[in-house]
Amino acid sequence: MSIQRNPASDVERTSGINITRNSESGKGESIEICSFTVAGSVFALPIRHIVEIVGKVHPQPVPLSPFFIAGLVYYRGNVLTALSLRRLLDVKDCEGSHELLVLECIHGSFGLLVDSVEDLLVVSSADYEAIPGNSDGRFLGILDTQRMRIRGLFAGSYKQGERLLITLNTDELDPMRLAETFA
Amino acid sequence: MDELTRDFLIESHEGLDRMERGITELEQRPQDRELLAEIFRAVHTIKGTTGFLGFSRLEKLAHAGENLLSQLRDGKLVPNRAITTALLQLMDALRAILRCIEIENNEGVGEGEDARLITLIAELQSPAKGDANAAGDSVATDARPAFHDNTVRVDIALLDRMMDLVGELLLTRNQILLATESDSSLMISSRRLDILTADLHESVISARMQPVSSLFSRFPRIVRDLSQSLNRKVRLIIEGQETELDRCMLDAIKEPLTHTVRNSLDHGIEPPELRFALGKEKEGILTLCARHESNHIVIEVADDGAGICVEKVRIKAIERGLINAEQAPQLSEDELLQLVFHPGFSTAEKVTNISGRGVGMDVVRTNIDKVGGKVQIESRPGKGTTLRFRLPLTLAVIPALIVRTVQQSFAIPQASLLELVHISRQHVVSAVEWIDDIPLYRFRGKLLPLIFLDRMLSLYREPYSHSSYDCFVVVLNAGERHLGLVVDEIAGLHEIVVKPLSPVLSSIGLYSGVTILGNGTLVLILDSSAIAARARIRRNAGTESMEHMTGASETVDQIMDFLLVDIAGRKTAIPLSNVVRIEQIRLLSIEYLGPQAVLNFDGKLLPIEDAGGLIAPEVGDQNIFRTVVVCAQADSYVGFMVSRVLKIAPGCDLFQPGSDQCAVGATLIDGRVVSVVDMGRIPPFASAPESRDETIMDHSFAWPQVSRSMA
Repeated sequence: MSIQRNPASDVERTSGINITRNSESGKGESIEICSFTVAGSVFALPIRHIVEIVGKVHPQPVPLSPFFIAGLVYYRGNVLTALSLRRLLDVKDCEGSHELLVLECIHGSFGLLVDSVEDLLVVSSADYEAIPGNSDGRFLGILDTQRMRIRGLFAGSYKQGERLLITLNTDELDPMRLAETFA
Repeated sequence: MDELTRDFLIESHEGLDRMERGITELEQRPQDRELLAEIFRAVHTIKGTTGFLGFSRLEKLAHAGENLLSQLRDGKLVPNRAITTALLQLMDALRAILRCIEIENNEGVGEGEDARLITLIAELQSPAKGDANAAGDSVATDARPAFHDNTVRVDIALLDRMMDLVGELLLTRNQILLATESDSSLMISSRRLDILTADLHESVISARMQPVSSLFSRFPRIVRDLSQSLNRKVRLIIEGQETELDRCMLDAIKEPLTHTVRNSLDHGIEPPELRFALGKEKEGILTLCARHESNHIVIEVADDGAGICVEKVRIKAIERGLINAEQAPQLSEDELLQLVFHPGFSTAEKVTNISGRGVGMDVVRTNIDKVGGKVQIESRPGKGTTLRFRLPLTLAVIPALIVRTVQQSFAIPQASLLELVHISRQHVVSAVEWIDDIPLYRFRGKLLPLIFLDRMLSLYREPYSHSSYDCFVVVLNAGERHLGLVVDEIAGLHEIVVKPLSPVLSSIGLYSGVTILGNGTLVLILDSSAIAARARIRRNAGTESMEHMTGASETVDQIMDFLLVDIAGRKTAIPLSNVVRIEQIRLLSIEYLGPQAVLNFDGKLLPIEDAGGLIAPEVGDQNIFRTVVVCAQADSYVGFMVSRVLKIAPGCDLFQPGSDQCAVGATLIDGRVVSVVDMGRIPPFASAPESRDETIMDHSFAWPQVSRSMA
């Protein structure tokens, strides 16, 4: 499965992915986000940060690379460096194929390896709650990890009925920035 | 600068290039109307556009030229040497103004010079009236569409992108072919896809190619100008103009080629009188030739001049200190010829402004090396010199060796590859020799430090012993040193396309890039000098104390004698020059100063080195005798406790491969690598209370420095 996104147009509907319009309050600006799972937890990223979603990738490992690097992935004639969200969250790697979100940062494109992409949803900015700047995510109770040194990896959360959708901070995912954090 | 001007500049430059080619050909074929029409069109186009853009200097010059050319084209005038020179001058003037526009966006000043040129051109036309009917009645061929009408200018970046995308298409095709193998309904379509993709790939590659004629076309002019200023008669022969080469490669060889041609004219081809005296044709022949040769492009510059005098090269090389007088007679002619590529070498007796300053051939070689090519030189005295450039077809693709270790593939660029050695499983253990923790392999009489790729990359391997596998040693040339990289398998040579790595991965420092193999696997490209740099750190950590010794042992001769001893089962060599005495001592006589074992040796305090732990087990037993080799190093003495003395044997120095530096801490005795005792490792010997004890201490000894902190 591969969704090509044209920034100008709406997100394409492809098999298996439905865009759910699901705003609690009906007020505020609507934002499209993409939710995905990693080790049973659900996270999300704003669609505008995602260039493409590539399915069934098997990254080629790079010996001696920082722990959070899953490896290299061939992508459109170029080679992308893929981060492993599992490793960032200090969860064990799992077997099988994964899905890759292609993201952009100032140092170029990179990939974020997740277990599977779940949904494309439209949420309202009114439902957004920023996570305090000094929090490291542990208070959310979803993860208890020693590697939660990355302050600001989590940007905020959207209320989705009973559950909270936690969004990640794309800037913090920049591999060079992570390398400095863990240097 | 607006777009119109930019387009005008590009077009005008192209037009002038065509004009240049035309003018030099004109000398050979003065009656060629088509050629004249071509030159005329170039100047005409410039004149037309300049009027429109308001460049008056250009317009006036072009107009004057057009007048002259129209007479030539119509056959009212026959080209001669004076006219050709004037046309070339005109072209240079036009080019100068174009360059001025490019840089300063105006035409610059120089009307006086222009006027002189215009007058000159006008004068050349006047006698034409006399022989106007010299070739009068043929019909002018004009109004023919210019041949560049069917071309489009494309940005190189776009071509690169196309190349990338086609590469991806190839991989996707491979996957589809695999998936549709068993499906007959899709078979035909997938076959078709296969063929189309291959064709597309080829087309994109050829879109990046340009015929070498675009490069060669500058040479008729250069040769013409140079032969005039050097008083040579030269005929230039160009062959294989249609041979195609990657655009970047053409740019890269422009300078080296120009330099070589200059050299040929200046040092190669003799003046006409001399040639005549030698019984050669007065006119020298310079051949530029390009051709395909098994995946390479070969470009040859050959002259039929004096050739290179090997004797002169030999003398010069000795004079310049490139080789020494003893070495000189042993070098073959070929080896001597290679010396001309050495920086600062030139056999020219006088320095001319064309060449002979001794910078040149080395620059030629460096430039060709940079693009992965090779330069060969062949010379027969009195017959001529041939310089041959062997170039890869494109810069983007490099040949590389694919190696495998622990099921992972890596690429090593062929340029850093020296040799491959296969070690069969039964020889693995004996072939690798260890000195301390450094694995070494004896390779052609030299010591080759080994690096196990799997260990260096911390790759996890199922518990194993190396002896159960065959392995390969890839001998690499990493800067000044050679090293052996031990891998499990060699997967063959591939042409690879180098892709850059993201900053976070290139900062690891071991990989210079990554590539995609035909089957879609990504393969990291190893950087051999980075591997050597990393290995050196480890080497130094292990042999730091040995490095200490270098200062003392640097003066030793190639062959020196060693005392071969056995220390608890391990053979060790002690330089014979350091050995003072071999003593049998009672273990009981060994005393301790703190942790240091010492011996009262002829009334002097002798520290004992017991590397093999030979003292410990039998302490207390009065009648056990042990052998101590007493050695002197500078002013200090030390005793080595050994199991037994084996013999005195000559040892050969082992050299660090790729350098003339003597390997420290190892020598070759009877064909085996033996570690040499480290005299520098003697511990600083001191503890304050004992050192005051005058009965033991003899002040005539200079002990290693006493560290105050220990007192």
